[in-house]
Amino acid sequence: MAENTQKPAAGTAPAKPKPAAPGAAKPAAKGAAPGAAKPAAKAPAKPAAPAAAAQSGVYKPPVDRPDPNPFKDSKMSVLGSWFQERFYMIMPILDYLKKKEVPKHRLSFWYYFGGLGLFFFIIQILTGLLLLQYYKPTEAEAFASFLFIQGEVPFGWLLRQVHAWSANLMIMMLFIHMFSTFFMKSYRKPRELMWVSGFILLVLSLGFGFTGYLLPWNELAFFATQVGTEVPKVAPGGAFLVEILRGGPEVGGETLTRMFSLHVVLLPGLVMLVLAAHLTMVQMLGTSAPIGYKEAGLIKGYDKFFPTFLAKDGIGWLIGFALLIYLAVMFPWEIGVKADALASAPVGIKPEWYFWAQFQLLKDFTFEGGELLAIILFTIGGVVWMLVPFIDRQASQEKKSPIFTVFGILVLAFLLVNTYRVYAEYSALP
Amino acid sequence: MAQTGNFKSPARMSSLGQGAAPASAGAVTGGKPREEGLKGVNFERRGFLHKVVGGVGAIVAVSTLYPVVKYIIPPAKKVKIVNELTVPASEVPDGKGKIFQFNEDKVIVVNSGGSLTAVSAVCTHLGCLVNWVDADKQYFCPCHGAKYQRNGEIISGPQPLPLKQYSARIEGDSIIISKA
Repeated sequence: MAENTQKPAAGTAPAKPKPAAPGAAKPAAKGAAPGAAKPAAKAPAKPAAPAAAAQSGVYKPPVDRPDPNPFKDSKMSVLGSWFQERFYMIMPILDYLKKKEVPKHRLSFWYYFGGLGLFFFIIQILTGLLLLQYYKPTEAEAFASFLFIQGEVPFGWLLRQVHAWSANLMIMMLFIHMFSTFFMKSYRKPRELMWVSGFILLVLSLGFGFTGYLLPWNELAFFATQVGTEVPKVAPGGAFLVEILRGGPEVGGETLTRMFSLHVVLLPGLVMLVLAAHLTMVQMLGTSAPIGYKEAGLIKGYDKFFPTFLAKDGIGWLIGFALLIYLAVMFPWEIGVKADALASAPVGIKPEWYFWAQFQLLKDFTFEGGELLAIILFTIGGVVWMLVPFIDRQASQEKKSPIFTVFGILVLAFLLVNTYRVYAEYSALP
Repeated sequence: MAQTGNFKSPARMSSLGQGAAPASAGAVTGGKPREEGLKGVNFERRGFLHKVVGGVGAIVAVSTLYPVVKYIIPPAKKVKIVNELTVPASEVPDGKGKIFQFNEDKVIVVNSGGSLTAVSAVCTHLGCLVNWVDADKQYFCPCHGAKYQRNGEIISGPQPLPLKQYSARIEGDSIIISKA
């Protein structure tokens, strides 16, 4: 209402004289302003009101009307103020975001890995979209189109290698990010759901790795998927799950179609949703400092997130990008031979490194029911790991929780030792 | 009173932090005087660094985009250029037309009363493939109503050019299509 009033500042007068009053008001106006040159019909409102007020003897305080354009002092471009006038309701949010700060202390280095994971994810989206321009997800054509991209499309080899390496680097960054936030106990109140959403993102990323692995449709991909989709069979109801995953009793063209659709439609959609939640929470709740750092005076200051920390993140991204291109050019992933459902598995076949720990555990548990036990252990472990913020009550009260540090070290040691064992065993093969 | 809500209330602003940011502050005083924030800034150094960062950024951007652009441009399909194309005569019965891929063009071969003609089947208007209408002895493009004579000349319609002519002859049981 206020913004539609033509002259809100001249507010003491009613816009229209009351219908009942004109007869009285007009003569009064003439009396009060005898020199008025304006026609009486146009002029009545201004002089009439004070006169009327004076007559009735009621004091009307000046109305404090809002400024019709509260943004008139803004130092903004025309376009900026155009949006500001229409979307003023999000200005407090932007103002809030402008105030986000990142604490500086001796562990600040670890704050960069989440951003790096995001960076590699963005690269995955872009290179994945480019690969889709030539890739054909069918049993007959997948390997041929893969060869075509690698061999004939200009820079196709580079984009495929970047996609493969960026996937690995992304998962590496996510692991580093996860363990660094774990040991800093950043999951504690109020950031429990940041941890949970982050863990879901890791699981989805592993799903990306698994589903994407089959798409070149080479021998390695074929048997890796064969083994990977065989695992759930030992669990009750697992055979059904396996059939759903494979689109049939065996790995074949239907499996390729399923993995492809998961890889390019379902998983990206889910990741976008969870990632949006994760990043929104990062902005809302801010960056956590380790327990007790503030009290002990270990925080050397704060960087504004926009733009200072983001610029520092950008430096990290440039380093990550350089590393990515170096790896993609110098250490290309193999092309392999076309998958053949009737060929023997190649010697030395093993899954991607991020599945090595599970892979080793499955191989270690050779006793009766060992596989099932391994699956159960991993499932329970994953759930406990995801719910750590709710279990670790000490940290949520800003008290140190060394038990969980030890727990984290044990989990990390288990993963590292088992991964190394696979590495040692397989690199010893001829 | 739609806009007299919270956004101008100093109380809400300060609940979000220390006072409102100048950009949206409006009538509410907020922010510090600009001069204080820029005291001690070496503008010469800052300008130089801006140029260096911008330059390096441009190099990185260009060298990243170059492979991407080259990648998006589809590699040329290798079409083997032949002078003559031989097809079985049984594929073009009397009163019918049939379209064959001939080098980079699509050629419609028409058998009308035993005589053979061949013209490009690609309508010069917007690239649809024309039909042979034997009753009218003309080509008709159903997309926008273009009509051509048997030799490809324009009868009526929106098309700017006639159809390109080819030649077709019979040798034994085969039809041989060649350039006119």
